[in-house]
Amino acid sequence: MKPASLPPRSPPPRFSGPSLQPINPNLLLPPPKLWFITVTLLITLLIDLFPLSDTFAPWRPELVALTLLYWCTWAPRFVGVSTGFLLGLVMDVANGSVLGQHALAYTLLAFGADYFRRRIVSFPMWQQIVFVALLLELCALAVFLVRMMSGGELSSAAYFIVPPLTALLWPLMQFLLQWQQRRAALSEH
Amino acid sequence: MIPGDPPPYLYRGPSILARFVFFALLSLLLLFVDTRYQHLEKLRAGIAVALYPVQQLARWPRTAAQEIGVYFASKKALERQNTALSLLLLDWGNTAQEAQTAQQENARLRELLQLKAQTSRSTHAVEMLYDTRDPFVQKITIDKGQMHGIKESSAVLDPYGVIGQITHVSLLTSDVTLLVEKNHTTPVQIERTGMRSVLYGMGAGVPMELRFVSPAADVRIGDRLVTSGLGSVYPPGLAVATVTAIDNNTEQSFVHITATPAAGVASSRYLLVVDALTPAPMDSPSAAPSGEGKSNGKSNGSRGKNNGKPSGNRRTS
Repeated sequence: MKPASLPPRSPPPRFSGPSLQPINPNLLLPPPKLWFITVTLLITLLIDLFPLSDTFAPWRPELVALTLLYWCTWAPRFVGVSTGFLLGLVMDVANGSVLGQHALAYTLLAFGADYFRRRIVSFPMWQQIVFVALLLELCALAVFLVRMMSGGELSSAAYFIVPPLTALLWPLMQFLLQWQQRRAALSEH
Repeated sequence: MIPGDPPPYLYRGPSILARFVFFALLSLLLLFVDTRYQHLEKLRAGIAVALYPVQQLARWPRTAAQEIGVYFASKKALERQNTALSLLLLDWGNTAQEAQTAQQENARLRELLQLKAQTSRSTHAVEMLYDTRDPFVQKITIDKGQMHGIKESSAVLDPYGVIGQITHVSLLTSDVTLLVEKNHTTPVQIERTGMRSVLYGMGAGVPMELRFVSPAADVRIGDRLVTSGLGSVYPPGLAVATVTAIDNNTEQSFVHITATPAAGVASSRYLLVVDALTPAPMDSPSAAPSGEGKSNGKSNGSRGKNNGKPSGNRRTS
């Protein structure tokens, strides 16, 4: 086809028809900034450290893991396995657990996120949630096995129910964590 | 193209799989070393110091809410609380006086019998920062650390008895492992008979177990278990637990005895830390001629197996 016959360049179309709709409109956003990633990780850590009573503590959503998973998926240049490991060490100290427990979990999570990154972003939202739930559950299971081998004892069944519940927060997390990118996209136009 | 994906022709360091394997192995190594040995305390303390401001910030909303609650507390409720506390103080003041008299008498008797004088230990009032956050261990964090003179393996008490033992000390905070932590051992004796044994934690919500009691021993339901003072960690005579069930039908050589902790484990906000005595070298028999001295020496010998280094043995045994 001759170049002359191409239509004049126009801004990306509004996604009206299903055939023209990109798989994930988020792919059009500019890349996130490092400062924003750091700040969001710190804020989720802060929320996670908020003291809760005994009744609610086992049901605390794993927000740090979810944020890590999000950034591993969407900002793999900044956040990866090593970030997961360091964040895990911090969580271990904060929780007073054996050093290496969360480090292992988050390393696993970051690797899973990176490995399946291209697949996760192309899924519709409900499939993404299922995928995130599976990843979080897998990493909970890994920690469980390691702790059982070193003679630990699980006190509450909530441990295995929390990961899928946390995954339900994925859309909300995505909405919040895209704030900086959306703003950057707006200021570009 | 995925955002943040660099062009494939740029060198991106070791592959993701290699990095994953490296950090996973490093985590496992940390797990292994931290469970078996004590070499990682410095690393833990360092991270804890860096984390302290974040922890304080996270606690701020609750502290503020409590202060607002105190500000708006009704006068009547305060008066009621005040009366209750005064009555309690009266009651305990009386007990304390009796205790003081008994202590003086005890000291004189000890002098007469030429026993080694009991050393008093320093105490610190502390506030609980966090409940158990890790589902696998029974721990709380308190608001004082190395800077306030807290030492590792000190006993931690609430108004009703022992709740646990300090296992990690960082600069500004410390971790307390609760008695109910699985395989945490506490040297106890039955208050009524003076028989010594070891109380094992079985995990949260599960009654504790009194082990190594022969079927012929005199144990009844409702017996109070107090610290025996062996192992130099806990001062003797502190309430630990109450016997709730005795199962004589086992075919083993020991009776299966369960007990519930006396202290409201993880429910009181203000706690008392009592310093552990630094374990003295084993006395020679001539230096400790009395029965008490001998039993102390014996306990020092077995301490290595049961409760000598609680933070080290807790997870491994």
